[in-house]
Amino acid sequence: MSVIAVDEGPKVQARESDWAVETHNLTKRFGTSVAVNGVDLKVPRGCAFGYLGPNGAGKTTLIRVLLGLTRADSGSMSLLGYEVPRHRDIALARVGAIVDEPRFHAHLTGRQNLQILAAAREIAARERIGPALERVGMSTRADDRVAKYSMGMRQRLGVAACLLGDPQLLILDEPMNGLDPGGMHDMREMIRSFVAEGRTVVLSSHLLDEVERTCDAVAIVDRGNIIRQGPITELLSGSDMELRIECSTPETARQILAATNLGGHIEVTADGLTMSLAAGSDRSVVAEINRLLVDGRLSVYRLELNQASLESWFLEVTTRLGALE
Amino acid sequence: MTTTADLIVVPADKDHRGSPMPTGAMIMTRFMELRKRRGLLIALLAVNIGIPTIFLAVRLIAHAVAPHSYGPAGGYSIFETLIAGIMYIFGFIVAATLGCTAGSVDLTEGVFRHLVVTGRSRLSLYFARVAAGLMIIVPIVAVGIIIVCSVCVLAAPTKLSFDGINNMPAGLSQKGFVSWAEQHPQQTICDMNFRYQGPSSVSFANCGPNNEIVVVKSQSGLTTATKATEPQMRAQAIRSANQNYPSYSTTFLSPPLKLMIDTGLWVELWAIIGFLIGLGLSSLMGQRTVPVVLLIVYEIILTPLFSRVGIPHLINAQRALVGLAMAHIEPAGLPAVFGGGNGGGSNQLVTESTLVAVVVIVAWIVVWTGLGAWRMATRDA
Repeated sequence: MSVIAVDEGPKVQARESDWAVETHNLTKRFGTSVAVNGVDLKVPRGCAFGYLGPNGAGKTTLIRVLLGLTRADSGSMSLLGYEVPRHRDIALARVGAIVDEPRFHAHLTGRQNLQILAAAREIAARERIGPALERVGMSTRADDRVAKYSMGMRQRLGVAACLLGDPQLLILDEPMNGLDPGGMHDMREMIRSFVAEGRTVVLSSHLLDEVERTCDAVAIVDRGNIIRQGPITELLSGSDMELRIECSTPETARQILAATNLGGHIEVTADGLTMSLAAGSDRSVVAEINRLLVDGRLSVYRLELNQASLESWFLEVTTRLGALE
Repeated sequence: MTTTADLIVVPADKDHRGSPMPTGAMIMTRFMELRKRRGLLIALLAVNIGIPTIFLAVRLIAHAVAPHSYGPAGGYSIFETLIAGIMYIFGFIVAATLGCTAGSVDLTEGVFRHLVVTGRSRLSLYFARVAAGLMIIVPIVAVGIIIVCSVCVLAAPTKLSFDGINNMPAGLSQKGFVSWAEQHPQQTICDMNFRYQGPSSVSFANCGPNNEIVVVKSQSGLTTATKATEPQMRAQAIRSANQNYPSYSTTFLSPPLKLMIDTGLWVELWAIIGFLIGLGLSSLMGQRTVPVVLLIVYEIILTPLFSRVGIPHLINAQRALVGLAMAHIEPAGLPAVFGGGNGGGSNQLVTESTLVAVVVIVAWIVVWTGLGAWRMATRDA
């Protein structure tokens, strides 16, 4: 793995690591409230990583700590293998980030705002302004004042600002905010293209559906704690499944199935009922349910076995934790 | 396809990102950001260039149209009025406003965090603002002063007016001044101020009704006025001329070159101090409005007040005010700003040595710059 940081002075080498972001027991308090509570986070390199949580869960605070915008109270962290804040300047040279909403000097044009940010980076960053604007589709509006930009255009300009440093790690805080469906689609495509280039994208969001469509792995955070983290497919494979049943008399079906130990929660809907099945349930369970309903003299029109969505899994996990408390 | 391993290369870090020294590009882009703030720049130009220019232009036109009704546009007294009355006081305020803007807009407009995540040293971000702000303030003040000086020299009156005596020759030595007074005793006695604080029994030639020179004598409650003789008139004219020479010696047709240079540097220094205090204070407070109000109050109310009223128990605190220190080093030949200054502190209520004044000025610059930089380096972005 390449780990080179060249300088005229002593060389600083990144620690060899598979993780783009790594934190250990990271804690940040504001007075008596704990915004980040002993977080151990590992973001693999070269993937889109979703950092999920409800509003006020501590997502933005963690990002701010990682980027050196505020200090951690305890714990350690590294970006791209470089310890921060010790080697913050070298690490951030290859990090692009949007924190909170992207805000700019409204009296300047988009291009002028990027010139200010590029000036704070290496000389080559100034050459990247044009391509970055091109990539986010802002070339034609780059010379308009930011005051005239819509929220979606500011989001795009924020991403362009991230690209000035040719980043290996992009940290995007709620990048879908304020975007229309077309804009969300474009942003999703853009994020996937970054990943395809070998970059790592950390996406903080509370939009579960968007994260599920965009990301390869996620961490779920609530009240400053990381509840679960890992690849989405692995996390969901351990979650309950859902069986949708369309039949002649749903209420009778509910009584029949409730008397068995095949599934969990059953809910009657307008056109049938849904039943949660244990993780890993296979088609034989579905066949058994079908047999029971037919034996009960019901007409079965449809059986559909679904993997739980990230949203239902998230609700399942957070509800379970809430119940434990 | 490019692999992750290939991409984990941090390029040559030759941009000294951790250094507190800003790059030229950082300074120039910050300069652009400040320069594009139209309202602020218009205020800056209006006070330092616009108002003096309009004032002088109106006087030039008025004098050209009706020279008998309107005096020359330039001259020493106009120079004094513009410098001490407008450019010094309001120059400080607009410079402080620029400083407050430069010190707070990144925070209030949410751009500070974008700059911090570049990995660039926060101190270099701060010092880039210092350099960029000075690049705006210094030339604008200089242009204003050059315009004022040019008009005051080129359109200066050809005859001096001193104590109401028109057509007095300018630039006389004390001997020449006394000689002129001897030759013009009536004008000297009637128009020049004269203060005598000796015994009341001494009688002087004085200006009586119809500008007749008389000697008034009081004896046994009886006051008599007799016409002054030539020797009595000459003697009084010489006394009066000697007493008025210090004032005459600082009255010119046009400001001397040395005074213009000293004044220019003095006004520039005050504007720079205003900018640096504004920058430091607004960086410390993280906002613009309150620091601007505080600095206006400081300049318009507190400094004049503490210049004129000496409070015995707070005399050292008063000496620590930068406005008083600046008044102390005011160039000789300018009218007292805020009641202080006037020739190196001769009329100041709160006296201090020049060394103390210089130390106070340097301390204000260092302390406010240091406080602003410290807050910039430690605040949450």
